Amino acid sequence: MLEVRFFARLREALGRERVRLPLETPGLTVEGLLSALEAEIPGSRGQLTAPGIRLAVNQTFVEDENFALNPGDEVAFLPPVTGG
Amino acid sequence: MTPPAVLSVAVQKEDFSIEEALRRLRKAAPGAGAEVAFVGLVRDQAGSVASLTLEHYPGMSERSMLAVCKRAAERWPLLAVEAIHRVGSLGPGEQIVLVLVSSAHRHAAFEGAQYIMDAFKSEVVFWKLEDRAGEKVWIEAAPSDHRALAAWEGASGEGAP
Repeated sequence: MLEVRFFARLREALGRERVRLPLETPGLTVEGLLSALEAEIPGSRGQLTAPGIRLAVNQTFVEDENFALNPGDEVAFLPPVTGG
Repeated sequence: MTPPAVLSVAVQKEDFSIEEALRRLRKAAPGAGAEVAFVGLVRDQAGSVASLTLEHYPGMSERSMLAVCKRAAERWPLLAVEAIHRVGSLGPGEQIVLVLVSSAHRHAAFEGAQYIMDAFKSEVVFWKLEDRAGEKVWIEAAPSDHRALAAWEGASGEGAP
């Protein structure tokens, strides 16, 4: 399994807070994740690849597009932060 | 040689007391010669902001705060840092964020605190939802906040930017 979470405006835009995707083998790419999510939430790809959206895996920012996801990972899509 | 700084971060719904936090800071690192405190508040723009709701990512928000404080402590000889960020619904004039820094001397304390706040604006994982007379609007990230952090990154060592 892969747990995918959405926050703030993304959560509202997608109408979902989290999605669980079946994942048995390691090595899912970010591109593969986006395709799986598009199948689950049609129209999500545009929202998730919009400028400023950042990806976190297991609560750490990931910038590498070639990052490989493994079963059990927690993935989050984060809009630009506005704390402080 | 400065000992490693004592770092403490917290995310909470409850309000915080700057006096209590200062007492903790002093206890954590006695012998400081300078303390700097920053408190961020919900601006009251002539009544146009009814309230602010702060969302966070439990776990990652704390980690992101700690990462910033660690970087500040690597760059300046800080003795202790305490940072508190509130979440939930906050009204005009309420406290949002506290940064306390202690050091042997004032320059490190001032600069460390300013760096932490500049980095918080761009890097800590929180989102503000503003209630404008019933209309809820997610606040946009300000490009000036990224420039403020970039100025520190472009500068070398103490005394920047």
